[in-house]
Amino acid sequence: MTEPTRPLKLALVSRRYPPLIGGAERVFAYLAEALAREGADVTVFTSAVGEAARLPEREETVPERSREGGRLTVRRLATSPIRFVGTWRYMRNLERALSAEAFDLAYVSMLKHDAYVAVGAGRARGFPVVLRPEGAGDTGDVAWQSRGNFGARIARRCRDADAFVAISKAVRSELAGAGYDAARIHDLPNGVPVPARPWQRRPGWQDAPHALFVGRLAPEKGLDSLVRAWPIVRGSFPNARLTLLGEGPERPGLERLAGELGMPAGVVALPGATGEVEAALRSADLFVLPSTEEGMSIALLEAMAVGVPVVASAIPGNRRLVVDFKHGRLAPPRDPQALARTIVEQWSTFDRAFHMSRGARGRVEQMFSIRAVARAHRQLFQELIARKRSG
Amino acid sequence: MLKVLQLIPTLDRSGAEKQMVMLSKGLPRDRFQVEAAVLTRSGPLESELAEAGVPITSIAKRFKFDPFALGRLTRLMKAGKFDVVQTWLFAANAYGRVAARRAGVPVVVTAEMAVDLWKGRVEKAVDRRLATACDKLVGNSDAVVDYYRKLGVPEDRLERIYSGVADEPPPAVDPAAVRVEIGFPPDAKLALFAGRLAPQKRVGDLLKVLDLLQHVQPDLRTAIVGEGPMRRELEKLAGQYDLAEKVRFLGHRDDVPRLMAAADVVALTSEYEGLPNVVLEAMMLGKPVVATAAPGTTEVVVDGATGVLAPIGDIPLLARGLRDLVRDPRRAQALGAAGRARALADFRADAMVARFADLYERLAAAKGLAVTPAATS
Repeated sequence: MTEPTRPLKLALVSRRYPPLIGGAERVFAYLAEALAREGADVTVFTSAVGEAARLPEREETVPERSREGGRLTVRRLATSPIRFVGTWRYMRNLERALSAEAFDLAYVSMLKHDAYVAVGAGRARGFPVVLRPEGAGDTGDVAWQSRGNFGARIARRCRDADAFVAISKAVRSELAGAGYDAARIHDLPNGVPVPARPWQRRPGWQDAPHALFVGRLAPEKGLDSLVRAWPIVRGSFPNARLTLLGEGPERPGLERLAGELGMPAGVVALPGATGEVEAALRSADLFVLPSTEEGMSIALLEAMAVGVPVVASAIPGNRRLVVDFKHGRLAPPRDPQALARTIVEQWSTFDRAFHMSRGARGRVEQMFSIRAVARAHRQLFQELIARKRSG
Repeated sequence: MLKVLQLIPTLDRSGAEKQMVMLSKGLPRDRFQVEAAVLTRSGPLESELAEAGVPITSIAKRFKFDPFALGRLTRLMKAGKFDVVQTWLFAANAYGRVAARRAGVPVVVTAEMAVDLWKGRVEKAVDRRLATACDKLVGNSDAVVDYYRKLGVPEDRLERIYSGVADEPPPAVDPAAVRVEIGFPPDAKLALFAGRLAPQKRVGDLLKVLDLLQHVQPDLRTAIVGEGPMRRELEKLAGQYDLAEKVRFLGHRDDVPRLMAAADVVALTSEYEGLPNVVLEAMMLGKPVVATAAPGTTEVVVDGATGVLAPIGDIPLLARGLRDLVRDPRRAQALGAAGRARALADFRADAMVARFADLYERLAAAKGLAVTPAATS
């Protein structure tokens, strides 16, 4: 296959985009940047919703160490805070934007309204469209299509897209089960950047070991088990601290629970969401993910990439990333006793934990680095474009 | 009496160059008259050749393809009336074989010293084209011979002669003083890498191994000897892994045997090798080796007997091998002693020289040249 002489011109569409926090959006942002680094001319279309309304309508950057032609533009399309009207305005603006420039391909996060618009625009203008469900199960895209407004109509059009990217087996089987053409589903995992400098252990960490969770404070994260485990951990490490980094509906309940368990102020900290995840990971002595449900946790991937020791719940999504004793430790979900025991074990044999954390970093480098994932995407995009052009 | 020319790109202090000098010095003077030529430039090994009375001519090749250099080389071969020309390393192998054919040199021997995975389509095409322009292609290990067999060199042109290592008395060293001199604590455990800092050697893997060991073996220090295109990148990597205190990049050193004699263990995490000189030298000095099971290396290091081998790129296993050796000096010594015994048995310099001498005479006799009968057999 020959490399096109001009850079690939890609439209990436995601209604929500950082600085709005969320794993899926973060991965999409990483991917946009990594594709630009690989030399593509990437335009991200998102909606100017909520706090994003205060950000500029158009931001253009050339990511560091980009190949020739690489460029990343973020376009925040006008919307409205009123339901239906907002969606309608966003859809209309997206349709105009996708028709205003000659894109080689569009890649859309989530099989919702923007996917509907993109597939239509692709059909009209003759460019291939790739759709990417961001999850499976009750909160997944296929479930949404079966109950959302106009879900059935959106689903019908989505099935016409040129390709689908499945980030997990669950997503693939749901798509196939919902009547999407299995031959057009491509398995490409999530990717995260791997920082050049790995995590190092803090001198004197034993005096007040510090565990960190990063993610939404949502029920399926199993954070009540983690907070309940904390008094037990402090039985072995009396100064142990816990930080739950993120925001969500569980905050009041978790704060109350920490109080009921008699945790002194500051021992269980809930500082809210932050953009400085990497810095937080570097200052921690352990990353804990006690979820009861995960597809492919970005927070866990990021912790592994930085190389901080991890304890994760032994659920399928986490088992895919962490092999017990090889890349970190797994603990049974919904079991504060066992979770506490595993955390204490990691800290009691910290040399071994360090060894496993480096194994985890190596695994991310090999299989889930954003660079590798972006290259796989580019390859797929080029094949689709070539196929479309040759009829 | 056969007149022999050894042709090599440079006289740098590297693997092939050392073998060439050893051979030039060692060929018995009652049977061979030896000269040397450098295709590109001379180097630090020149004085050793000069001391042994080997005349050296410089061809001064200036470009990748330099027809004037080819002309000069052809004239040198014609004027010198050489019976045997042996070429070393890719550039000299290419130019040397073409020039020798034009000059009508009766016996041409080509030495290949590595499983040259770097070679691209052009280099491979040149090698294939010139495969029959020499009488023998000598690889310094089975892995090298295999590589060129697969490349299409006919079976009857292939020969394997192991590299040799000189049995010089080990230099007297004060291990503690050497450690202090390179900036390490006198009682540190010392691992040594010596080689070109090129991608082939995968020194980054070695740094990852040291990163893995930084807490479980805090007294381990590592000296990295050699230069190469990756030096800056590797120094940066060592910084990123917080290894600045534990790893020293020493650049080119003329006292590698002395540093090696002071080390506890020698490490080599390469992707591929021919027959690694550094390992032979380590064995001669009685040092255990931790290495990757790379083509070439596996023919020298006997896993569990003279050192420890791990799959290429297997950081945890390499780390374990290094840690175990550093922690168990008695085992390290035993492996080192076994290595020395193996080097003396299979990789003696005089055996290497004798095999080449025999090969030259066999090929010369087959071409009808007068050969001084060897003293024995």
